[in-house]
This record gives sequence, C-alpha cells and structure tokens, in this order.
Amino acid sequence: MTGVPPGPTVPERRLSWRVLIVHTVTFRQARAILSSAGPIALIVAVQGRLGPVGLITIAVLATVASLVFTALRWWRFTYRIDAQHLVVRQGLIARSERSVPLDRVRGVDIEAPLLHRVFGLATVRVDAAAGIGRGDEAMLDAVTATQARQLRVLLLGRRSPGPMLAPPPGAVPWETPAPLPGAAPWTQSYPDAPQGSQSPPGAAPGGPWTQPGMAPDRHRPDQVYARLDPRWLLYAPLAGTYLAVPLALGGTLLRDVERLPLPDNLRGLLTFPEQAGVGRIATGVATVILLVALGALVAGAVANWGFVLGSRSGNLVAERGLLSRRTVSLELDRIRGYVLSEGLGLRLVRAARLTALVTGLGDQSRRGQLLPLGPRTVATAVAARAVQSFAAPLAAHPRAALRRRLIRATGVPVVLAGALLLLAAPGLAAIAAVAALPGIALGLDRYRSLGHGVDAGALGIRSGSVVRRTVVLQRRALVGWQVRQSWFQRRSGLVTATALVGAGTGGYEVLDCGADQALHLIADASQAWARDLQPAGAPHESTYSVGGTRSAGAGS
Amino acid sequence: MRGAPRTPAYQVSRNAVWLWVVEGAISGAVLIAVAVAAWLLIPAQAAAPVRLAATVAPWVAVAYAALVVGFRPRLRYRVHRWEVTAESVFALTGWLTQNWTIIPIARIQTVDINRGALQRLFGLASVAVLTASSKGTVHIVHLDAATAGAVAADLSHRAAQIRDEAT
Repeated sequence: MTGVPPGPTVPERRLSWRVLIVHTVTFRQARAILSSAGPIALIVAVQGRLGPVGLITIAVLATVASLVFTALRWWRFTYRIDAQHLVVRQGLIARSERSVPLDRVRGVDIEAPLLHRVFGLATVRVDAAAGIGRGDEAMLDAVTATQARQLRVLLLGRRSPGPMLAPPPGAVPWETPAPLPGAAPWTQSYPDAPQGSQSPPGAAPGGPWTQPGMAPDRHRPDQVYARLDPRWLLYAPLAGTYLAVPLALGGTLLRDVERLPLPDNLRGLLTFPEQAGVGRIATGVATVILLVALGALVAGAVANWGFVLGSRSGNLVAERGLLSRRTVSLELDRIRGYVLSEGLGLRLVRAARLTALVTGLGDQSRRGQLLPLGPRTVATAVAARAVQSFAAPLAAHPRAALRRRLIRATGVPVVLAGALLLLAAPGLAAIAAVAALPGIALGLDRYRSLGHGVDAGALGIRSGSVVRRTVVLQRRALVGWQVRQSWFQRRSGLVTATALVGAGTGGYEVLDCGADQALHLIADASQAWARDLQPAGAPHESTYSVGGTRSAGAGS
Repeated sequence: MRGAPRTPAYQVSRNAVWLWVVEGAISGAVLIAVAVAAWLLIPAQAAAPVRLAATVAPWVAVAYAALVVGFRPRLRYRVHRWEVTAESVFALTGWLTQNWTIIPIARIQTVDINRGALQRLFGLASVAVLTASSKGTVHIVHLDAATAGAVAADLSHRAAQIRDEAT
C-alpha cells in the first residue's frame, strides 16, 4: 500500500434506523424465530377458537416481537471502513466480525425493494474475491440510498480515492429511482440523455445529475452504453426463460380451475370438457398462449423496466427494475468476454440477450447481464462498446460435424424405428421415423450454428440451436486449452477444443471442429506457448529429461 | 494422424505400472470375493436366470481381474504422457478418448504435489497444475517423487517470475 494515499474511511456506525420500520412491518427478523409460531396461530384463528380480540392480540404481540428482534439486531449490527477493510460486526450474543479487504472487492450491488424505496433505503451487497462458491461477502440491510451510493464509490473506488463522504443534502445522483413506483419510469426522468449515446462529464449543466460540490464523474455514468427501449419488452414472450414459469403456473391454474368459484360461462372457457369441439380446444389453447405471453411480458417488465448500462470510474454499472430497483457494479478490469444468447423464439425476431463473463463473480447469469433483451444488432453494438469488439467472420466446421450432429439428433428415433421394424410393427416404426424428422431439422441447425474465429483482440465461438450462444473471449484472458478427441472423432478428423478462462463456466467448447482448424485456432488465439501443441513444429527445448533430472534451465 | 496435437515427450514413472497392477489386483479381488459369495449364498432352488447369473458372475469377475491386472496398467502407462517446455506445461491422457491439456507457465496459479498411501509405497507422486479456470488443471499422475518435486518447484518458481496480469 506504499504510495497509495489512504482512502476516506467510514467510522463505525449502524444501519439506518428507518430499516426498523421496514423490517418490523415485514417481520424480517421475527420470521426466522417465529416461523413455527405463525402457522400455529393461523390454525388456531381459523378454527374459530379466537374472537376478534384474540386475533388483534396475536397481531399486536407478533408485531411487538418483530420490533424487538429487529431493534436488537439493528443495535448489535455495525460496520466501518478503515484504510484497508470493510468490517461488519453483528450477533446478539455470539458476536461475529467479518473483515473484507477492500482490494478484493469485486462488485457492489445496490438493491432497493419496494418498501425500501418508500423509506429511501437500499441494501448493499459486497462481492469479494474469495473461494469459488462462497456467497456474498457482506450484506448491509439497509442504509440510506445516499449512503449506499457513497459506500459503492468507497468500496470500488480504491484506485482513485477522493473526498466522497458527506455530499450536500438533497443530492440526486444518477441512479436515484423515482420516489414512487410506477409514478415516473426512470428512463423518462432524464430525457436529455440521448439513448445509447455518450454523455461526457460536465455536459447538461443544471441537469438532474449535477449538484454543487460533487464530482460529476462519480455520480453519473462516464458513458451510457445501453438503455432498454420499452418496446423491446415485447420480445419477452419469446424468451425461453420467461416462458417456463407462466407455463407451469398456467398448468396449475387449469388443473385447479374446476374448484374455483367461477361463473359458469368463464369456467366453460377455461376447462376442456370431454366432448369439446376443435373450436373450443383452439380457444383454450389460444387463451393459454395469450396468458403466458402476457405473464412473460409483465414479468419481463417488472424485472427489466428502465434498464440502463453504463460505465463509471472503471466500473460497469447496470441498473434495472420496476418495483425493486437493483444496481450492479462490475469492475471493467475483471470482464473477460461476453455471451450472446439467442433462444429459438428470439432468433425469429433477431433478438438476443447479452451477459458478461467476469472473473470471481457469483451468480454470473443474473448479475452479469449487460442487456436482458434487445435487438441482436443493439446487443452486438453494446458488447463491442462495453466489453470487447469482435468482427472476425466465423469459420464453419467440416461436413463430418454435420454428420455427427444429425446422428446425435436423430439417433434414438431411428434406432427405435429399426427395432420396431424388426419386431414386425411397421405402424409404430413409421411413427418413430416421423419423430426423427424434427431431429433432422435440429441437427442441420445445430451444424449451421457451429463456428469459430479469431481477431486481433478476441476469439469467438458459436454453437447451439434451441439456444444459440456466441461466446467472445478476450485473447489475453485465455489460461489454456483442452483438446478432446473421441474414437469416433478421430475417424472423422475432428476434435473438440475447449478454451479455458478464469470466468464464467471456466471453459468454452469449440465443438467438432477439424483437427487442423483447432490447431490453427489455438495458434492464432494464443501466444507463443501454444506452439508446444503443434505437431510438426520445430524441435522443442524441454527443461526436463525423461529420467527426471533437469537438463536445462530455459526458464525465461 | 495428421492434424492431431503433438504427443508430449515423457511417460510417467515405470513404477506406476506396478501401482496400477496393485490397484487392479485389489479391485479384482474384491469383485471376485463378492461374486463368489453371491454364488455360494444364492440357494440352488432360486429361479433359473438368477442361478445362471450367479454361476457366471465369478468367471466374469476373474476375466475383469485378469484385464485390470494384465492389460490395463500397461495401456495406462502407454497413454499417460506429459511435458514441460520453456513456455507451457501439457499432458495427454486417455485411450479411446484422448485429452490434451495445455497451460502456459504464465497463467499457473498453484502447483500441488499429492502422495497417496500406495504412491508412497512405490515412491511416486502426482502433480496438479492449477489455473484460474476450474476446468484448466493439468494432472500429471505417478511421477517418481524426485521428478515431481523438481517439476513442481520449477513450475511454481517460473510462474511467480513471469505471471501475467489477466487471469
């Protein structure tokens, strides 16, 4: 730490007292302890042993208990930031102290659920570099929104410390959400910021960002990379992940619809009577599809409303949410690439979703999102500006790869059809053969997706059909290669090469590319060390002889 | 064949064959014991297929034991290869499915030496070279202990000297 001036510190302090109200109302602390008491009270109440007086007594008692627990926790929970650590102390009787080194902080999330927003509070989650699989390093639930922003700057801004504490009261930083949910969508409160364009520091004086006495670059993005156009939410029904939840919900609803006290005509619309005509079934299916689409739209809007991606003092900052606002900060230095995923539905409308690959980030798919939904062209442009430009054409894989994809996709039904034919069941065999037809389409499409390429800064890999993924990795991020060749692949001259990186899943496969292609790719994408893998290269100077005694010290 | 990556230069310690023989003998013996026990314990009046299976099982176990003692160790010795060069460490394993892994020295994070009980008996040690990627580990199994120590010391020394910033 020599030479680095000590950054500003935060003396030991408690969370905001207003959180007492929020946690009392939501029974946050009490729930953990009284989780068993609640249902019992409910059962007793439902069985009618209690009059209204009893009910009110229970409610009051529960609220008081909740307040007491909340207050105790609040009283015993303190945090501070010294020159090198964030220190969190908590525990009613058994005290615990967690100390997170500031230079290991990888990301800071600020989340403001609805009730928190009403009281001007936010939850701060600190993600630090530690062993893989460990959760959040520290969570402050909750501080005031202003404090939350200061903390983020303090925790992430170690490289450029500045006087960030105590901004003037009433400061409105760029990520402040509209005070009331739904009243004013965030995107509309800053009409002067052109969509997806750069907004240099110091522009728009007197705008909503600029406050006297405040370093402007600290409280607004240095650059805005993307804003979610509300029209893009129309893609939501076509995105697979949203589809699953409402579909399951719809199924449950339909099953239980018989028991619901609905008017007869509505029930008739929702249920499928035994002798239903084709028309009614079609109506039912259309209704379900409509409901699912609507559900997806609503879910997408709630999660992603007002999504903004920007960069600020070396961090990528993403903010979103209709009811609950969430701000995720990622260190730009730790981003190693991105994944562009296009589900089958999204491909129909040329839309995509964009996720960053970040080292040491838990919950990558959710927190690393750079664009939840949007046109493919926008997603590519955002990726190029925010993460890494990649322009190389993707080379197709050999025809042998097509054969392998087709065999994989149709193998089961074809074998089944053959077996059924042998068993003299031609009817069933025909059905199995027909079932192989979609497999052919799938195999063809999977082959068409396969591709890889290298340019000056990055390496791109594409594969997949139901969800087509284009992975772009910075070449400097490669930590190695794995080349796998099965017996079948050997006969076809194919290999599967895996680019190893210290982010995301740890490795990304170049599926079934030609063996020569793979060697070229590895040589082009990597530095000199990859020459060691080349078959016909110059003789290598090894540092070890077979016997284990070192013959040369060619270490550098 | 043309186009396949290069085969690394070095094989593992010759003693590894004996270690694999012992491992195979142990697993074969256990399997034979189980199969024979089943053959003895299943009553003669059991259903015909069960009886047949119980009769065949010991012979299958014997065949397996012969394979894992007589054949597999030599095969493994042939297919396990490794090499450390000026700039990388790489290894090749597998017979039907071959698997090359290469890591540049500059991206090595930690180097582990492991010695199991059986390995000690035969004077062997395994080296694991780890990177930032959970999938990017080079395992060099069953080197003789002195080589393993030299390899690990040299790798970690060189890694510390030329470590890259971006991992």
